[in-house]
Parts: sequence; C-alpha cells; structure tokens
Amino acid sequence: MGSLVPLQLLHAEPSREYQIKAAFLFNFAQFVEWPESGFVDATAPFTICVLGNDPFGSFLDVLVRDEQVRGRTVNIRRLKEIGAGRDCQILFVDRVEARRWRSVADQLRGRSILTVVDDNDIERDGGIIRFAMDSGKIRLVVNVDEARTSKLQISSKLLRSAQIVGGGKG
Amino acid sequence: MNAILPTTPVQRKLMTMLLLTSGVVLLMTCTAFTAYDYLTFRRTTLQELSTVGRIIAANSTAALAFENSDDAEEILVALSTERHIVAAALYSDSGTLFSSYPPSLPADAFPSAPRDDGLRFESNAAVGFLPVIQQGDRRLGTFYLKSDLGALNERLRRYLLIALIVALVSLLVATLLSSVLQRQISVPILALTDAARAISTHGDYSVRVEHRSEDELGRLTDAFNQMLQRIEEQSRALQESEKDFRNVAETMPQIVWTADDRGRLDYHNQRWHDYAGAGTEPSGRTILHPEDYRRCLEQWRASVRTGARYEIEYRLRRASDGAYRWHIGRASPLKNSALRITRWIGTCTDIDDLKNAEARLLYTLSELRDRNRDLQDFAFVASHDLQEPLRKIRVFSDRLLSDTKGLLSTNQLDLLERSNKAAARLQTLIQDLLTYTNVHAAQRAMRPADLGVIVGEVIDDLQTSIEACNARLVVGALPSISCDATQMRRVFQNIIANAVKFRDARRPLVIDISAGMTHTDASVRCCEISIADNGIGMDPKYAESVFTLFKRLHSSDVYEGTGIGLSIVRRIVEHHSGSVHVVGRPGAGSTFVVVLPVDPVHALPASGS
Repeated sequence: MGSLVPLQLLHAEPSREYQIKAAFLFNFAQFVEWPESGFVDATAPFTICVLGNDPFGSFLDVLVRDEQVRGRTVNIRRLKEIGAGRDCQILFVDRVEARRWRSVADQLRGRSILTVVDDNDIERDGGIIRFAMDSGKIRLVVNVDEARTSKLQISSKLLRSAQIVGGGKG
Repeated sequence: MNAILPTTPVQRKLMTMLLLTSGVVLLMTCTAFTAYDYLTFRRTTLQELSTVGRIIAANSTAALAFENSDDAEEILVALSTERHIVAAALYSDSGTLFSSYPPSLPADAFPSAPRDDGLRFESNAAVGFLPVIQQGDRRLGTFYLKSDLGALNERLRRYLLIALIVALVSLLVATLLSSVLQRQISVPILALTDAARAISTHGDYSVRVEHRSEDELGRLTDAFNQMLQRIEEQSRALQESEKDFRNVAETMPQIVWTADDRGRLDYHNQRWHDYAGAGTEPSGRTILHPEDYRRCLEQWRASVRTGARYEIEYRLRRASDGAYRWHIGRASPLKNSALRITRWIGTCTDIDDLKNAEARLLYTLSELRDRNRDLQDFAFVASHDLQEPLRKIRVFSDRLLSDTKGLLSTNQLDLLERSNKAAARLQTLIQDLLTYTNVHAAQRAMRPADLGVIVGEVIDDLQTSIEACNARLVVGALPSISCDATQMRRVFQNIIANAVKFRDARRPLVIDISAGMTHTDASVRCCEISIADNGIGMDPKYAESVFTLFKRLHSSDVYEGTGIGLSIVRRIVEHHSGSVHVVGRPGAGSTFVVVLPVDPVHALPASGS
C-alpha cells in the first residue's frame, strides 16, 4: 500500500493510519459537491477543520499547501469547540469528541458541512462519513440521509468505495 | 512499346495487356482498400482503447483516492467483456502498482512503473497509459491497459483472403471478358494477316476481307479491299497489255525477246523455237556463232550497264539445217517514269539473204571495174599501136602519088587517092577513139576558165570551114566556171563543127550561143549554155541516140565523120558532173543544151565509172 503524500516532507510524523486519513480528508473535497450557500462568499477559502485533539500534526498542513479545491485556496483550522466550526466545509471530529457527537451534530444541523467522524464503533451515530478500521484497512461508512440533509452531493464513485448506511428514501 | 513481346501473336498480346492492366488495377485497389482499412482499424482500435481506458480511469478515481483495492479489482474485472484487452493495471500517484487485471497474471507481467501518457503500438499490441484525474487537474494515478492486435491481424488476414478471392474471381471474369472482347480487334487483324499471307503466297488478288466494324479496323479493311481491287484491275490490265504485246511479238517475222532490268531473259516468241529448235534455252551460247559470241556478250553486258540501245550483226545457228545465218540484233531499254530501266526488248532480224546479195553485188562490181579497165587499156594500146602503121601507109601513099604523077592512068590515080583518104579517115577515127578513152585517163586539175575565151578560140580554129559556108555566129555573154579548159574546148569544137556539118544548104547558117544561171535539185549552182543552129534538125526520137558511140544518123557518104564526136561531148560534160541533151525537129534546126556546175567541187561524183 502506498500513500498519496510524500512522507519525508513531514516534521512531526503522525502514525501511518493518520497519514492516510489526512490524505482521505483532502480527497473528500474531490468527490463531494458543496452548494454555494456553504461558503461565506465566492472568494472564501475551502476550510478543513479539525475538532478536538489534532492527530495529524503538521502533516495535514503540508499536504494541502499550494493546493486548490474548485478555485479556492485550502485552509486548515483547528477548533476547540464546535461553535467556531460553522464556516467549515469539512469537519473532522476526533475519537474523543465523537463520544459527544450528538450535541455537536445538533449544533451543525442544516449547515452544508461534511462531517467526518473518526470512530470505530459501528453502533454510534457517526456523522456523514465515518472512518472505520476493518482488519487493518480504513473503511468509509457514508450516511446518505445525513448528506442529503446537509445538501451535499457525494460522488457515486465515492459511494462505490464506501459502505452506505441510511438511504431510506433511496 | 515496340520492344515488348515482339514475337507474341496479337491475340495473346491483347489478352496479356488486358489482364495485366486489370490485374494491376485490382492489385492496387485491393492494396489501397486493405491499407486503408488496416489504418482505419488501427485508429479505431486506439480510439476504442482510449474510450475504454478513459471510462475505467474515470471510474477508478475513488478507488485510487481511497485506496480501495477491492473496488479497483472490481472495476478492472469489468474489462473481461472486452476480449482484446489482455492486461490492465492501476498505478498510484507515486507510481506503484495498485491493482491489476487479469488477476491470474503475475505482477512482473506489468510495467514496473507507468510511462508517458498516451496510446501507442508496441510489438503486436496497442498499449495505453492514461492519467486518472478527479475534478479536472487532480491526478490520482495512472491507468495502464494493453490490447493485443489479434483482432487487427485477424481482420487483416480476412481482408487479404477476401481480396485474394475477389482478385481471383475478377481475373477469371477479366480473362473471360478479354478473351471475348479482344476478338473485336484481333479477329479483323488476323483476317487481314491471313489475306495478306494468302496473297503473297499464291498471288491471288481476288481474296477479300470481311468487313466487320465501322471503326479504324473496318476502314483499314475497306482500304485493304479497295487496294486489292485496284491491284487486281491493274494486274488484269497488265496481263491484257502483256497479251497484246505477246500477240504483236508472235506476229512479227523476227525473233522477239524481253529481259528484266538485270538482263535476264524472261520471254521469247515462237520464232525463236522455230529457228533455234523447240525447247532450246534462250541463251546466246547455244545459238551464236562461236566467233561472234564473245563480241555479242560484251556488247550486251555494256548495254545493260549503261542503258544504251544497240544494234549488232551476228550469225545464228538454224536448228533445221545447222546453218549459221546472219542476223541484225537490236535491243532497247524500256524505262519507267523515273527513267529507270525496267525491261529490255530485243529483236533478231534475218539479213542473211541481204548480206549474201550485197556480197555478190560487190563482187560483180569489182569484176566489172577490172574488165572496164582492161577494155580501156586495150582500146588505148590498140589505138596507139594502130597509128604507127597507118601513118606509114599515108606517107608511102602520098609519096607514091607524087612520084607517079603522069605515069598512072586516071583510074589508077583515083584508086590511090581513095585509098589515101581512107587511111586519113582511119587516122581521125583512131585519134577520136584515143580522145574518148583519154577523158578519164587524163586527170587534169579543174581551174577557173572563161567560157567566152574558150568559145572565141574554137571559132578561130574553125575559121576556114565557117567562112567556107558563109556561116554567122552570135555569141552572148558566157560565165567563168571551174573546168578542164582543154576538154571544154573540145566540147564546143565538136558541137560547133556538128552544126557546120549539118547545115541546111537552102539558107545561110546561123549559130546562136547563149548562157543562163540555174540550179540542180540539190541546190548546186549551175550555168546552162545553149548552142542553137538553123540546120537540118532531126527527129526528136533520136535525141538520145546521137550521143551513143559510133551512132550515125546519116551515111558517111553524105556527111563525113567518125560517129564519136557527140559521145566525147557527153563523156566530158558528165566528167564535169554536168549534163547535155539536144532538142530539134527535122528541117527546123537543133539546140544543144549543156548544164555545168559553176564549181565542180560541190558536184556529185560521176557514177558508174
């Protein structure tokens, strides 16, 4: 298995698992479409937010340096509490914050934010996309109902690679 | 074109041309179609490969982005419907092999790393490296796929097979068609060729070629037939004219022959066989006299070389009796409009009788000349030898007469005188005969002489007898001519003496001498001298005989004379190339007319002497 990021560029190296997850975070920007209402204005940067304890270190910053998503520069913000995450396009919720997911989710309801939850517990409600480990490999679990509620269009190609939950309405 | 297939018959040549042309066209068409299809199919293959590749690449973005190898394999397995795709693989953005197809193929069967993007043909396969891109510019990896060219090759093989079948069938059809179509051209040409061969072999100009078409070959056939028609007519006309010539040649009393331009005999008439013997070859060697053969051959060869006509005499052997008879051979060349000799025509005319007659004549003539000379010699010698004893008779009878004067009786004296007179007459006769025979013997030169002077001298000589008879002479102007003066004097002496002798006793004698100029038929300038008298005249029937030797109209008892005088006149005048005649009537006088050429050099030589 290779990585999408040249590892030697990193100062404080995260674990291999989180290097891959960082790359996935950025790759989600390619496979999901946000409505215009999801941004403050046309020039606003594409913002990836990390809530709670940051497992990526500087790896994520290096990864998105000089990259663009749909003509927007990519910005990384680290949040202490969910209230500051309203302008985010992608919100990573770490394992600890994931336990308090319900309150977080309520505050973001109606906003076009792709919530990515790093939680192995399949029973818990895990936002729109959840990183799940399956025999050493990272699996994606997508809740299409949540995505639809957030007005996010997830590429079918991403859906092919993911495990889908919800989708009661098809 | 003229060097290709020079000995091949026209029919085969046409077939070859048609088949070669259609074969080349077919080959080129098939090649063009095959090449076009091959190239098109290659392009199509690449396009298809590109399309499939792009679809797979687009579908595999998420698999690469989220490193889902199961998903990637699933996507790649979809290629199993594309039979010609033998291998495919996904490489990650860092260039490592991520997923491959078919699963059975080991990893080392794939390129260890992706190469430059693009589709290309490698050995026996089409290979493509396509970028895997999401959202426009974000490259996630590379998709590799390989399509074998089995289909392309199979298609090419099928095409070549079809082309081969088409070509074979086309050639078969072309062969059938061309073998039918080439007849349009070859059949008339072969007909013409056969006709031409028949004509040149048998000389039969009645052959005609069937007219089959209205094209150039048809016109050629027509022209050929017209040409034959004309040749036939001309050869018929030629045969007619040849027949006419033969008829003429056969009718002729001579031997007639013809030869070609190089002198080879090609015709001789029946007279030849009649003369030389049936079946005799027309050759000079068998028939010419051996002494004449060489001379004739040289003449004939020279004439053939120079083209000059000739005439030659030779002896030919007659088969019936083996006699050589003289012939005159003539030959003339016949020339065409370009003045080239085309033929020789010759005749042989039998001149043997003529030749013999001529020889006999010449022999008789020389014999005659010899005898004449003997006769003249005899006359001269005889006259000369007779004179001597005669003079002695006269001398002795004169002495006898003078010595015996008074001793002889009158009767004896009369006898003696008469014998003396007879001797004197005989002497005159002999002298005249000598003169007559001497006219030709004395070859004196002709010199210009005045006839007036000559006549004057003659009158002087005859003065005594003229006065005795009281005659009157009227002499007009007389010309000068070239002549022998002595002989000319004798002419006038004889004529004037003749007039005095035969004068009419009843009237005084008048002699009128005059001259005028005239011409002979041959335009020789002559003078005409008339000597007219008023004597006793004569019967015109004797006009010619008076000039004959010893011819006397009267007895010597009445008129003295030897009968030689006028013969001498005629002989002298003729010796001067002139003529003399007399006109007169009994009792009305006579006129002698002497015609003499002024310049006897231009006169014709005296004949018969």
